[in-house]
Amino acid sequence: MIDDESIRAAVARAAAGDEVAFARIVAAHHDDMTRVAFVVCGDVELAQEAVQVAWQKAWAKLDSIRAADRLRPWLVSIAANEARQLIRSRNRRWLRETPIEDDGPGDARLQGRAAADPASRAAQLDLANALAGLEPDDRTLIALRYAAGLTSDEIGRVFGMTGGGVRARLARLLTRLREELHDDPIA
Amino acid sequence: MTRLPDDQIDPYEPRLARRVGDFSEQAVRPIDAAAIAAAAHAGARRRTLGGRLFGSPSSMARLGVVLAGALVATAGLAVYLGAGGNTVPTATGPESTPTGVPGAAAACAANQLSGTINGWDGAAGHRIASISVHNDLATECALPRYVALALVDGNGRALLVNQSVKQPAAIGLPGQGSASTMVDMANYCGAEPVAPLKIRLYLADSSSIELPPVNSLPLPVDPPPCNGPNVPGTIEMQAFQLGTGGA
Repeated sequence: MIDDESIRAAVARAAAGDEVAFARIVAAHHDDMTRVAFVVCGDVELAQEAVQVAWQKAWAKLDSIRAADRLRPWLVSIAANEARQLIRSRNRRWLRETPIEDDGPGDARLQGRAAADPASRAAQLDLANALAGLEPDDRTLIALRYAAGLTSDEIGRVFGMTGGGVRARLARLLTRLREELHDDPIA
Repeated sequence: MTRLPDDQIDPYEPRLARRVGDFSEQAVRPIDAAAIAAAAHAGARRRTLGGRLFGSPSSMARLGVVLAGALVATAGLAVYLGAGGNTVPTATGPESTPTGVPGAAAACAANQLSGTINGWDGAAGHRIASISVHNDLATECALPRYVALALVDGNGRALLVNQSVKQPAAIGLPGQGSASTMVDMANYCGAEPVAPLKIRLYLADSSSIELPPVNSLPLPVDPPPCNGPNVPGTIEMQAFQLGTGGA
């Protein structure tokens, strides 16, 4: 994990056009952005495309970041917005991609995923269906909170809401998802 | 795995976070951060210029995505072709860089080139080196855009090797001219290397040159950290571009 001082230095250098410094930022945040975009759009390829576009926008506006702790929320929110726009521009509904078979050799993460037991696959399918039934704003909220791990205040800044407003909305979503997923009230 | 923030809203949150985390993991793929950064840079420039000229950034963005995909695919192919390991013996270096050089200029020979490592940055589990090579002669020579390369220690022991590069295109390197690029390295799990680390470029006819770090580097030139003994070590480069690099 890169510390705040390193992030500040990398942001400053990247904002000045240093591609190597920007590559450090990419290495640190690309996976989180991909996870968020995927939860928002439900399509692996679309999510990856959204993140590529997000990096272009991030490059162009990196000098607007004044505090290191704002970088990550800013990046994942760009990815979420791009994923939403890609769905809208292509008139696509949220898609689900639940791995059923092995995707082929060469990637340990994929192989591990393919080895998941049928119950895990079923659980993923249930979650995919539940997410598909949410509004795009609500999926974005879920993605930023549970795929990126943002606080309610950080999400509030993205949505133009108060932290309390975010918490109230998330509480309603939690109740709904817990019912749809038939999860016990307390894990 | 996603960290759930401290401001817990509901006792159900950790469970949902695990489910969403597992679910979203399926979209994550290995990346080439340097290639993505280069594509973002190029794409951002196109977006800016396109927006000014045409007022429609969306089509420019698509171009950037295509470029990004091409770069990542190229880098991925290079990784696939050149996937090295951590236990490459010093006695058997990589294949020579092929000499399929178009045009009239002869292929650059090791005795006419010099070069240095001008930057050394740490990323998450990676090291990224900025390198440049210089044509010390007055006549132009053909430099392959991609060459076989290795990270070597002070005793010449290869730590990471990109084994082979097939059919690279070439650029004309003018007399007294320079070319530069970036080299991305990851996952060295071997013994403590002897300083100083260098990057070795393999040219035609099994000749090679070694690029030492310039003295002004602010950070130590250390090997990329070990991400796991079962993860292959990698060293890969972007294509050489004319010039000494920089922003």
